[in-house]
Amino acid sequence: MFHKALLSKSMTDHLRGIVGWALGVAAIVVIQLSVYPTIRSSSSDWSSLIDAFPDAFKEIIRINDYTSETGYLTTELMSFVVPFIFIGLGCSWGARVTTEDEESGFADIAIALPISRASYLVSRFGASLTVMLITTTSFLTTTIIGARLLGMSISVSKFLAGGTCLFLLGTLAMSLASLIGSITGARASALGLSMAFAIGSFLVYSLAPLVDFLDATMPINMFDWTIGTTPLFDGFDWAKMMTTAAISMICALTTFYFFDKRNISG
Amino acid sequence: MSASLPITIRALTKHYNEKRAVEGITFDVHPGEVMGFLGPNGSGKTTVMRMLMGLIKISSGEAFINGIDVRLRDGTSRSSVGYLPGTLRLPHRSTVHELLHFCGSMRGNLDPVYLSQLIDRFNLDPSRKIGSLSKGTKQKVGVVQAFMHKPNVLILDEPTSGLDPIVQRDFEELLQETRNRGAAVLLSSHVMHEVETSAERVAILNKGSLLLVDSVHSLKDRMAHTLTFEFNSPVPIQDFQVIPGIQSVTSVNDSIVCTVVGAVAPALAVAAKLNAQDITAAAPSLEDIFISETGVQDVS
Repeated sequence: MFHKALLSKSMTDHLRGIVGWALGVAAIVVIQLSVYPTIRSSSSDWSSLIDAFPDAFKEIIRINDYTSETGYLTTELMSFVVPFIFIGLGCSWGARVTTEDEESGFADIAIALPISRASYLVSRFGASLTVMLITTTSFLTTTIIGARLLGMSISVSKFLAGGTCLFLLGTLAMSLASLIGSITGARASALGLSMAFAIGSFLVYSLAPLVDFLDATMPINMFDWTIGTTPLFDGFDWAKMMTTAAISMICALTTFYFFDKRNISG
Repeated sequence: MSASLPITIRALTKHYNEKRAVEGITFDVHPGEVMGFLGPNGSGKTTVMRMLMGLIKISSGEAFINGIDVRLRDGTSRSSVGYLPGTLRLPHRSTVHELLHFCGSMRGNLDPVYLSQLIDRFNLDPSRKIGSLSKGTKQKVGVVQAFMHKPNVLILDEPTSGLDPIVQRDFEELLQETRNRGAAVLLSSHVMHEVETSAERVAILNKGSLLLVDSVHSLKDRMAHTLTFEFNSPVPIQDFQVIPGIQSVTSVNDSIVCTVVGAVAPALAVAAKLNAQDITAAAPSLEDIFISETGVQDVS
């Protein structure tokens, strides 16, 4: 069911990209952490500044106790840039799962090998999940070490909850992109539509505190299931995490269904 | 049903929505046989081959490789198949070595010694990146990946496309050896000479339908031979017009040109009686057969 050679090839073909994503995430964490001592030393000024922001703006960016360790890391690492890095990674690798070989023409060799399409997909998903895991590990390692060096008192468990949320967010984006790819066979549409869905969901998530009918959609919003649980404050929200994982699994299983029926273009 | 033959195809049909790609294709390929698979561009040859390889789904009909239904999801029907696609595109980041070992690992029956022999035979450099190779060298890599596991069924779509004449000869030798060890080969090619020298039988497709399946020898017998007789002086054309099997006779100066289907002996006997000075015989080529059957003039 699982082909080590295919998993390995899927990763080694993009080794530089994998290293780039992992180092990129680590670099962003380092940059954000390096700013925190300045914020901490002038916390009263920052608090005054943020208090002066319009309430609507504060609600949109969901800023909460910005000058505290947890509030700062939540705003800077768990609100926009890093979640979208994981979404970008997920969409990119998810689109690859179902479209890369078909678009490059290598599917005529790879899928004609004596393996089932299901095992082909399992191996390709395996590679994508491994990449997601490597990037999450890079994020967690840098964050935990950096926080300790700065003397932050946030527990490892809460960092792990944050990392898990990002991993699940990326994985959901990945399974969605792979599903679209299994239907269209085109990387551009898989990548474009899944990213558009993520951006749309994020806009809804951001505006929800201001608009009642958008707020009512939060139970079906991928951001509410993940970063919306404020993991650095509250730790693991198992119910929402399981929901995210289950939706990803449903998308992946639907991907199998469509990919199995697909006429591979030559 | 002859389900244990290397390749069995019955009423194989592929429709894309309302559009017919191929319909009702039926033929077998036997062990130790090279079956030429001919047809004009767009006739459906590649569609049939890709259905056999599980790349596109069968609309109706059935196909078996080594007795295993190609529709089975587990891919076991392809376990002893070497396939070379018509449009070969390989991952340009991989080296030749990485690609061939990947294929070997996935099939699970890598024979490093035989692989090494094939690499030497086709003069490949395993350390080269695929992206840096010429079209012909990439095609050689494709040939090696199709033959490297000694499959007992080969499905080859335009295998010599881009190969120079010397490598084409090497390929034909390899094909011969493979057939001699009992493998069945379905060979699609626009190089009529290649099919004529390699194939015992041919299947000709046109516009998605199978026009005929027959041996090359039998097809040639059914086609008219052209005989040209040179005489010292004009001879009566009527003596030739009454010969059984004669399709046409023309007289040009002291020559008679006639086309004959079937035995040529009666025409030779008449020519000998009239004291013919020279005889030229032109046997039909596979290209003549192809043009005759499909009505397509441009073979390539």
